[in-house]
Amino acid sequence: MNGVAIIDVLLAAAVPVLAAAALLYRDLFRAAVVFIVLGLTIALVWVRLDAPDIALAEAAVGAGITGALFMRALGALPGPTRSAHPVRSSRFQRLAVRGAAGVFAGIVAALVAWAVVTVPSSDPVLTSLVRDAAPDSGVGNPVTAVLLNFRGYDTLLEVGVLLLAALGVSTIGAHRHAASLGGTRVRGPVILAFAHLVLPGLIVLAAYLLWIGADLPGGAFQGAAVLAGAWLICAFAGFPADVAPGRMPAVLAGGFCIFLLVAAGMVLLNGGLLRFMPATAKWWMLLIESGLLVSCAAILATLVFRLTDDDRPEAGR
Amino acid sequence: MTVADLGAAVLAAAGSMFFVAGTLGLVRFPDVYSRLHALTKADNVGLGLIVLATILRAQEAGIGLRLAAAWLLVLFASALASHLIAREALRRGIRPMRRP
Repeated sequence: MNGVAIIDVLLAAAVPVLAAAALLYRDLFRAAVVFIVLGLTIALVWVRLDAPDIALAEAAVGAGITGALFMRALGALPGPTRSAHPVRSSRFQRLAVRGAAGVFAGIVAALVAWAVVTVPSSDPVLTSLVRDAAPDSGVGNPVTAVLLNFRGYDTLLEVGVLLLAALGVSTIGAHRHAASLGGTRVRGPVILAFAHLVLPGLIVLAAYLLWIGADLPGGAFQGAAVLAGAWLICAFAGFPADVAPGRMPAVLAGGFCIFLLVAAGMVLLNGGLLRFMPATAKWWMLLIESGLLVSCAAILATLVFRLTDDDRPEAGR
Repeated sequence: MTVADLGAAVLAAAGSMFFVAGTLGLVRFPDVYSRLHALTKADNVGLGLIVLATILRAQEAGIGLRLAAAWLLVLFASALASHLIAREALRRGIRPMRRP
């Protein structure tokens, strides 16, 4: 067994152990930390599977932004005090609930196992189709070609789902802080200096990820995660990074609207939804991605900011 | 095996040793402050050595520069994170351990 195989075996063994630990820890803070570690481990697994695009997305969104979401949700939960009126349930009820959950989880696991067993390990037809059509897609990275050209409508609808989620959180979430973390007490000279140092670099990095996505791993979603992280640092450091509440819907929906307009425009120009001409495809995709970069960053930041109120009572801390 | 490859192997092994030492400190040191001290210092040096090893093996100068930039970002981020954790611990009244 060579060194690379040892790393693969360790990674494959670590993923289920970490997943179980994230589920089984009673302490929610530990569970959240383990979840972040799990996300980073899965990112390494994607690297080993030669899928660096997914690895980047998993590290940035799966571990980074989701981890921030968990931490923020945890901060809003009351302390480990038990509620004054615990819900009483009979032994039969508990057994029924657990049994139902177990059956459901078993069915899902069986379906996943069935999918893994029955799907061919690689689809030579699909791979060669993508490879043959790649020169006409306008970009060199096959992942970006599939995401924005061949299957652009999938991405369009996914962005729509993201937008709906952000609008839902904006509507029913905490409303005291429009887009800032005004009450968050992470102030001080160190975080301020850190923000001064890294913010310009993070903005350049987000744009770089967007641009490089045409030919190498990267793209709008990875860039958006970096930009959302920069926005969080801004807010934590106390920078005035607010968007006026009246303008927030436009920023959130702008990327989706540009996407939709380009899709409709392509129907008029080229006679098909998101059907590009090889010569100009790259620029249309860049336009879509630029809109998505800003909007997805705003959507991710909204999910983190508006999830909870900061002015919470300091109970149980 | 070229001289660069050999140098990279030595640097990576040395970097791993620092990570082992830092992790040992995290597991064995008595309080949050000394654990932070072990983690941030040792891991930053360890990562620096491993980044140096990968720079030696990088095909282009641009990739080496990007790796160095990544290390610099990690340095800043870990300094900030350990500062924030230590400050929050002090604020919650966790006293640094003293020799009995």
